[in-house]
Amino acid sequence: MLAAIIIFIGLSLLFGLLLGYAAIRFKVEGNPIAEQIDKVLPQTQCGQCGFPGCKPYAEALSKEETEVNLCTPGGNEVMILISEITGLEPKEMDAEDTEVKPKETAYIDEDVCIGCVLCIKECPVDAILGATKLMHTVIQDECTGCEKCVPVCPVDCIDMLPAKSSVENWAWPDPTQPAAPPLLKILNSQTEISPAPQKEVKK
Amino acid sequence: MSTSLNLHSLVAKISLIYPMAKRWLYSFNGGIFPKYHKSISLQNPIKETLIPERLILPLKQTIGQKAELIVPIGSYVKKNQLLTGPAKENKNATIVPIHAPTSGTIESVASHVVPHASGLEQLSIILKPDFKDDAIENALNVSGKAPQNPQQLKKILLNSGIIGMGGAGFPTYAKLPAEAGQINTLLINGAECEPFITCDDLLMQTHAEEIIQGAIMVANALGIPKIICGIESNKPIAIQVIQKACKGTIATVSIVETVYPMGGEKQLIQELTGIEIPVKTHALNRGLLMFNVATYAAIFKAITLGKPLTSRLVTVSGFGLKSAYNMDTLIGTPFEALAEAAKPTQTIDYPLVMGGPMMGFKVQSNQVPVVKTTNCILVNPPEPSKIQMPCIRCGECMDACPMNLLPQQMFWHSQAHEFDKVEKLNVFDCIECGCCSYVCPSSIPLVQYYRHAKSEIKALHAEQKATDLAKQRHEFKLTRIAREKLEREARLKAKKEAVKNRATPPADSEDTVKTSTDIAKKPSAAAAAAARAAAAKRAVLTKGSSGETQTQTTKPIPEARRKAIEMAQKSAAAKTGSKIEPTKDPRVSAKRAAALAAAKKQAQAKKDSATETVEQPVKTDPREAAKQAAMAAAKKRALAKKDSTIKTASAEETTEKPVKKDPREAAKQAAMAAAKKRAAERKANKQENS
Amino acid sequence: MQEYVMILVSTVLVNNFVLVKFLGLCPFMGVSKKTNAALGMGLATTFVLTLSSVLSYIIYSYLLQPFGLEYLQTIAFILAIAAVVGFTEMAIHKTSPALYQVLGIYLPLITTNCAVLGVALLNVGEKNNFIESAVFGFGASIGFTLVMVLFASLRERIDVADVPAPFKGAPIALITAGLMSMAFMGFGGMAH
Repeated sequence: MLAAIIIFIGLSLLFGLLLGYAAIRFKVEGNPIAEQIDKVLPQTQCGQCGFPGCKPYAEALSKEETEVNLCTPGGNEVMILISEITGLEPKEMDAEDTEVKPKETAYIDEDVCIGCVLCIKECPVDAILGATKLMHTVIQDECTGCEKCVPVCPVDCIDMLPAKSSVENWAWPDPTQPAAPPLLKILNSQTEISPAPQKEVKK
Repeated sequence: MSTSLNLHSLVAKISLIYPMAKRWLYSFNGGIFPKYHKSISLQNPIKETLIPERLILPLKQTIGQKAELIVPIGSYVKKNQLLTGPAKENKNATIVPIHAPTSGTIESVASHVVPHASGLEQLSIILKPDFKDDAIENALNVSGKAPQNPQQLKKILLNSGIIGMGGAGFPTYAKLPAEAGQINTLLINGAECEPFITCDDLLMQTHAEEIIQGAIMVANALGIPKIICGIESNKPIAIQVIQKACKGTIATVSIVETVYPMGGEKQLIQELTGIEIPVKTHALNRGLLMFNVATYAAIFKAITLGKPLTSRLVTVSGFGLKSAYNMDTLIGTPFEALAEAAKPTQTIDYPLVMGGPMMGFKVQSNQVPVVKTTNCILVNPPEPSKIQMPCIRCGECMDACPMNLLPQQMFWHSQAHEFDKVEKLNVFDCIECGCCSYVCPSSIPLVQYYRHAKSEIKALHAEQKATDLAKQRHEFKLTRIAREKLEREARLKAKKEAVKNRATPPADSEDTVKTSTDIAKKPSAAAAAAARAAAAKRAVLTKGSSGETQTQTTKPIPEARRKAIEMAQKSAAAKTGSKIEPTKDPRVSAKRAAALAAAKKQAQAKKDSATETVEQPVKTDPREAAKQAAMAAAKKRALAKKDSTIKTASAEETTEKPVKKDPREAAKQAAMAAAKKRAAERKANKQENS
Repeated sequence: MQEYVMILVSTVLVNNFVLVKFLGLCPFMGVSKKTNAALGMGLATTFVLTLSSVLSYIIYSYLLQPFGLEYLQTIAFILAIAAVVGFTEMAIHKTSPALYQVLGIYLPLITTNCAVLGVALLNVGEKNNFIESAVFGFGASIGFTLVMVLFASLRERIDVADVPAPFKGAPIALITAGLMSMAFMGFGGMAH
């Protein structure tokens, strides 16, 4: 009996010391989970989650101080990814339209712009160019579409517009979708025009 | 030779039982043996060039920078005249130019449907031909001599607007290496493996000499010792004439098996040289360079005749035509005009196909123009499309793939939208030849899936890049804000210290503050006005001094400005009525006499205007007073500017500047500080006076 | 030597812990949706299982047996396994963040994997010596990893296949597991 108690106390102590030593010896700096979450977030820096950017939200998530369903631009997909990383329970998105809408970017109506620099201060990625009392414009390649600049504009001259479809950014349609693309027919008709060689030979 | 003959006869026998035995005869994997239907368009000779009612020239070609029209709209242009230059945004960009295919007037630059699977519109030049075909001879201004180095050749090729005419449309000049000796074999692609298309075949039959001479010119300029021309065995006449043209030159003809896709760059290279081009490398890295026969013919014309690329041989063929033909077609001719010229069996109310049946695509409008890469217009009446069946994993597609990919696996993951896995299966190596779709017993449009997957993967990568950029920029912004805050704090601190230093010499700081508030509280209107004016002047001084104390952020003020500041100071002092002894003032320089004179004059000007603002109620709160003082001072300065003479110009300049430069906040702070200091000075003066 | 090879073959294929002995079914069903995750889980288990089987052998034969405390073996083994898992997690986290990223949350899960305890207890039951215990543990975990990866690959395929509606999801996974188990029974003929 005594031996059992002593042995188990000894074992527990041994393992405890081992783990304690390991905890000190293998201490990891930084917060890998926050970084992981930050990677998943869409980096629009829109602040719709209530945090000043994507990283602060990721950090709060890693400490489990907030909800997983606050990233509106990321939508359901990101919410699920976050819940997978953090191990938190996935939650329904609060926003009504959780559908991911096509990416929009800000356009400044340059005739109306008064050069107030309010939007420049607001832009989280410095994508707006301009100076006081000079017309502003948006660097389209760098706009994340966070819509932060829209409400601050005193003359309401910022519009969110989807990217124009052009030959350069055109994508081939998904063949699994019902609308059959034109090429499908060509290739199929071709199979009829010249039947497979095996069949020819058999004839 | 005898062994290969034996192999051929052996394979011919085996293929009766096992048709795919033909695949043993060439070096790359897979391939298919479709019905070629080439005789449809070969029965007629090359047709005379047709000049349509309108020519449409898309400004942006398949690959390259945005271009702009350089001749005015409405002007008359001759054939071969240069029409485009780089767009305004990127003046220095090299663009492949467009030349007028025939003479006529530039009608407009308008959006027009272009031959692209999307059916989207692009800005295009609309040319109305005058049917005279008035040409500029030697439009490229060449000497007719063969270029001796790559630079010369590149220049001619760029000016002539030649792009790869096999299909990809990559600018030819850009494909050439910059230095001679990097290429050991020049290859001529005369395989033309797609069914229906015969334009390269006919070109070889009629312009064999031009093709070979063009290739030799390229080889000479690049220092290439060897030329191999690969021609499929189903073009006997072409082989014969090319062989004749090759006699006595460094060029040799290599007859290759008739199999689709023998004309693919990587396939033909493997067949001709035995080199398999690895993933993510170009033929150029292996010392190989390949062009299509039509490209060589165009190069020859550009070098010897100075003729830019304005027309190309196009096959117009298909089951919907009575007399299919080949024609040296002007670039920009609408498809429909060419199809109509071939006597269609029924009215063409179905979409035409650009390219062959394997790799071509249906155009969304039959009015699309012929571009430099259009080799064939296919007029096949629509047939009932086959129903797609589930994949039965037979593996036919894998056997047929000439790129050694796993089409079935790629299809599986594309279907499930697992694009990362599709990418891992090297979908970007897919040449979209359509062999897999052709052999598929379930009629699955496999290529369509790969194209979609490629689009999606590209979009994903672009998105990832954008996300990374956004993150980086946001982090940069945050650090910038933090840095600016620190700098501002440092500046403020330095400013405060400067004020303190300046204030302490005559009296200790506590007294100074007290006096300043006392003065601000003084109900006397005149004194308040004076205080305001002086405060404004001090604002200038403080700014200057802060610049002095913190040289790392602000430049030290120049001497001239310093003088002006002193003048302003004195003028303010003079105005308050306090009798400053110039010699006692610690900041007065040697040139004080002149400064005093200027200051007096300015003070006079100020006094006139000051009377207007004297009536303003004076607040007891020193902060408010200072704010008002700054505003009043600004007003006065504006007035003073009008009144002041040329003599005070220098003083004026400095008083003007801070108002313009400083945001309201800074001005307020500066005025506040200045008021304090001024008060201290007054106190000092009083002490002196008493 | 032949003995060890026999143990290895037996544990990996013939007496596969998952498909024949039905141990460790929780991760088998739970962490087999993605091949990468399954492989990570398998590797982590391999490490922990080998270490813990060695450790439990030492505890059993040098601590419990001499004092006649065999009846406390389960508690002692659980203690050892938990400690090994905790230590492994920290060590991997520090030394190889990339591997840690791959294994992620699966590492702590191993503590509750019954295959780990099962191996320790079976070692005792079969009276394996030190090296035999190590080989037994290693073989068992390799078998586990193999089955995990195979099953995950199958499930990935089934996910995008045209499965009849009532069988979608868990039912078809269980059917697949059953078929796999039957296939592994075939290895039973190898050992006589």
